Amino acid sequence: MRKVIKLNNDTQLIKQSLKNNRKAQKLLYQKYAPKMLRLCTYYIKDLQQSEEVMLNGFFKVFTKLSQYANKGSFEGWIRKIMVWESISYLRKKKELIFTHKIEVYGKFIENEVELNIAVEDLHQYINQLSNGCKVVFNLYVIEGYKHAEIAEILQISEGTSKTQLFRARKALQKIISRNQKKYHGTK
Amino acid sequence: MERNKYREQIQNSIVEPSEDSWEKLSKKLTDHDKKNNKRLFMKYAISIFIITSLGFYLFQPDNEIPRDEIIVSPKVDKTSIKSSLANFEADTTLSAPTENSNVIKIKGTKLLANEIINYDVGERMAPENEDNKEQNKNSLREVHDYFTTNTLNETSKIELHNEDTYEEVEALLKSAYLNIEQNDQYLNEKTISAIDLLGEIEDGIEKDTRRKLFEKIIITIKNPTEIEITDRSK
Repeated sequence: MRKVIKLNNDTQLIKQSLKNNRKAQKLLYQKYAPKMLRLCTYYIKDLQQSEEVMLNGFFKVFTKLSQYANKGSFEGWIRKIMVWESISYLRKKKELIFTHKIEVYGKFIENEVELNIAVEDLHQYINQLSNGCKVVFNLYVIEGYKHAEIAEILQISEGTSKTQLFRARKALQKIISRNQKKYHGTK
Repeated sequence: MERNKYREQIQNSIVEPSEDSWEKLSKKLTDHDKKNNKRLFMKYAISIFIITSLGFYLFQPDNEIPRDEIIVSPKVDKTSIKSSLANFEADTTLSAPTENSNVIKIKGTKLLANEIINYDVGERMAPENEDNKEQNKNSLREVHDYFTTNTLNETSKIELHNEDTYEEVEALLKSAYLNIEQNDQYLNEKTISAIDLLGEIEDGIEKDTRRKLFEKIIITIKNPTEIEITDRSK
């Protein structure tokens, strides 16, 4: 007689995935893959490469699933792995370069416009940034890491992290205002 | 607040992966599982081999320790010794006396037959105490008579001269052989094999060393000693 297992929630899926149940693993993959692919595309421009990185990330998720101690959300745990995987990919490709030029940056005035941009548009604008700025911006703005944490992840100083973020914001502002001029004419 | 909402919006945005992406991942996972199973099997096999060989080495039963073959001395038939002794006595010491003379010639030495008999018997049957004296005397006499009659029988068979004959030499050789045989039997009965003794001592030493080594390992595991590294250049 076959045993019927209901795979409704993450806990059940994780339990079964730990037993190498492919069906459960597939369900977990189908649930989180689209979000994770989007996350990877924030770091890697090329979609194919992003998918490759995401698959590597999921491979690690399933092989190291026993290390997930049910602390915090499962999605958060997967996101962390994906971020690490993306950064490692950029490091391997030697595309992650941080300039240590000290800049005196003034107080950044948050523009209302910045927050009203469509998510899709923002994704495009972010992808126009240099890799160093982009990674710091993604980690700070999208993932919500603090500068100290970013410095630890990227093995840079907190100052460099702040500089990169300042540059990214400045560059984004420029890109946004340029595009606004393009589509809405001059202010 | 608005920023968090915006963050959520970004985090929830999706991009659908390609259709065959899961198949790729599934194949990778299957390969990994196979490799893992192989590794696991190898680990079990190696650990079983190590445990078995260690167990075989440490708890080898004593009877399986290879050593020299134990030589068991054959059972000595006392009656055969008695008879061979009698024959020996008859063949050697009492073969010489003739009707003319009671002197025998063995390899150039002249001895009286009576002296020889008395000497041999006296050596073997010395009285232990006063009570047994009479009994021993009687038995001595019996032995003496027995040898004398045997001697006469034997001498009648052999033509003896006052010189060494072929038969005499034969008789001497036979007696020497019997003598050696008796000595061997006696030694086998009374002595311990030196090889066995050596084997037992070796076993004892080996057991003791093994026990000490085992104890040392246990002590080391229980109380790991600190290793002090000294600078030799100083």
